[in-house]
Amino acid sequence: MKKLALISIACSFLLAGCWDERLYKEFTIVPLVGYDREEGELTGYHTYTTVSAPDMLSYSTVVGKGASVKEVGFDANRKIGETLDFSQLQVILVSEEMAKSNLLETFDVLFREPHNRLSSKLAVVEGEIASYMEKTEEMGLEAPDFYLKNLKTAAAHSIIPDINVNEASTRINDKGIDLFLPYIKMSESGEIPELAGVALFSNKVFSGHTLDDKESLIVNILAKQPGKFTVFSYEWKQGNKTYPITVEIARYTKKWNIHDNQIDANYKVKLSVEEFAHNHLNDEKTVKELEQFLSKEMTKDFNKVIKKLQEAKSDAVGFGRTVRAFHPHLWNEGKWQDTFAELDIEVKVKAKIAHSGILN
Amino acid sequence: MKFMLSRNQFFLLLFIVQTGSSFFSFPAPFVNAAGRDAWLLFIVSAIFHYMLLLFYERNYDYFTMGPFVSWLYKGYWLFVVISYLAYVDYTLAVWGFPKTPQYIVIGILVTVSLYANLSRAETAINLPVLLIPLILAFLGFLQFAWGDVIWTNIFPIGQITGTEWWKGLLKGQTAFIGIELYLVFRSRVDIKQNIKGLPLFVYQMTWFLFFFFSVLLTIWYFTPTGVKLVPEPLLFLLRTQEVTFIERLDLFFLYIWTVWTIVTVTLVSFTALYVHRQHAKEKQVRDTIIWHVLLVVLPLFFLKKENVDYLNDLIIYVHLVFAIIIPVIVIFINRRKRK
Repeated sequence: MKKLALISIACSFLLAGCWDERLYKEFTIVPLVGYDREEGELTGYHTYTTVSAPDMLSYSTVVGKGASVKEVGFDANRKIGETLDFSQLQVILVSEEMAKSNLLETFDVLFREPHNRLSSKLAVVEGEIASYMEKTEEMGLEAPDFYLKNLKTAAAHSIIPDINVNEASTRINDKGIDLFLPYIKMSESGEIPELAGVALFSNKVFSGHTLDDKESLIVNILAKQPGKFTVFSYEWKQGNKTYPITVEIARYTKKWNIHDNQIDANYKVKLSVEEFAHNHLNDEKTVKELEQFLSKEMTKDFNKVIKKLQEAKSDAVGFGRTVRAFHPHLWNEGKWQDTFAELDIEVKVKAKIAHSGILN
Repeated sequence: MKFMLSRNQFFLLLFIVQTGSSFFSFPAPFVNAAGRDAWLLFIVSAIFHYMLLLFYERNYDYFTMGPFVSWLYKGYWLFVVISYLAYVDYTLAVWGFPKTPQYIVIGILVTVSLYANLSRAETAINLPVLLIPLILAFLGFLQFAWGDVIWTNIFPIGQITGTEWWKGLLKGQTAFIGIELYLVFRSRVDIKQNIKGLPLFVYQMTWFLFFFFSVLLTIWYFTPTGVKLVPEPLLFLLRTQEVTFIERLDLFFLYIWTVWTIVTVTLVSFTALYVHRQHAKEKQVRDTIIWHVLLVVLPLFFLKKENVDYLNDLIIYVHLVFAIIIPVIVIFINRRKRK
């Protein structure tokens, strides 16, 4: 009897974890969600997987309403009679209105519950969220795959920052840098969502300002967070003819000199020429002229972007991190976003052609 | 109970007990108390730790426990193990097993210790070896966070206030817990093996770098607001990492940490029972079982967050009594007696 009791106790230990098992058959995976807020009420659009035929997955969308993300989820559960599971969430879309509140507070549940994924991508969309949740013929892919693929490709090409939910929370909590998220618009035909650039945040909330794709690429360069490929295109005039030139940044260095209320940001950029029909890149004079042209154009564009960031009071580059660390007098002048907007920031880009491809 | 320790066994035992449960719980309260300069403060704490080790090394011969002091220490170690078990069980419930009955989890943790302590002394002594590859894997996987750290987070240096110094030094004591085992087992180390000098310094540096790394990583990775929200920053950091071969890296290391805590519980229990057997030589099996029953039952009263936090705060003050005050008194009295 004693032995039996001991064996039973020992065996009960093997059951540890059984209480907490999470079987796929009991949950419905949600890879894409979209949230909108109107008059304090949250509306959530959940794209979830259904098995339409053996070995075939399809997606449906269910809408839930409530005061919080969790309540919205419960409302959606009731409507479809299944339990939605957010542990495999790939993309979260939020409306502009929603982004004007602190996202960290709204998405508290993502951080509090350990099985939620923090590597999901986050994006702001223009207008009403409902139209972005349905698959259109133009998309070619199911909506969750479409958004994930587009966001990943754009991040690889430095057009948007490679920011996930966790990185977004770090930026929201950091007083020395502002968040910027991919900004998606519906195409003019209204058939396909397009990545339009980035939405700029100021002091934890969406500022209402956006940057287009070329400008957001520059922010990524300024912050030294480029993706795998960073390409710029310009038109170079030579005599009466115009030649397009496309260069890719091979590598670059940044140096910020911060003194008084002024920041001199110097960037030395080594470029690889990808497209230049004028050729003659073996001619020192041409190379020099081209380098001067690129330095001037890039400097002009980079400064334009800085002005836009200052207008939006959004330090997406993260000058504030350096200021907080090494220039406390400037940091302590007041709220950083206000100080940043008033700073005299001058960017200088020095371009150098490092590679010309396999042609001269 | 007769056994002899090699130098490596001795230091490994000490290292596991000192890092065991506190490794995950240490960085957040310490960084919150000391602020951005926590890393600087830890260097000062480490100097104090080394001085304490040198003091122990010089006087361990005088640290002999009578029945009264021995009962005090047994009570202290019981308190330490209960705090550890309550903390690890609460953390496991929050991170991995919210629905599993908590007595089952504690039962599993304690059963290993019961088995090891009913077996020969070598079983408990050699158990830490099991952890060496796991700890190395843990440190290796923390390197995934390297790309996300913000180096400037430690600047500006030297902003720490007097209150932060004081609070930080106190919280820093969490990393010292278990150091008194040095006095208990030092005399059991093979006399042919040298401890003084370089070996002790190497141990000190290993302990220091281990905790220092955790403090630096916490400051670099989290903003001051972020670290206030996350009680287990290293576990959270692992949770945020995306790897292709496993969905939740944090769970994998939660289990490693659980094993780490099991070994710590085994070693502290082994120490308490070893000290107990020096004065109570009979009915050793009964006493071992009673000890482990207490370990299963008592933590069940402290499984709320509020209680766990209270124990984690209280243990610092209790530790100061048993790592500094009592050893100093015992050594002082015994030195006088021997003169």
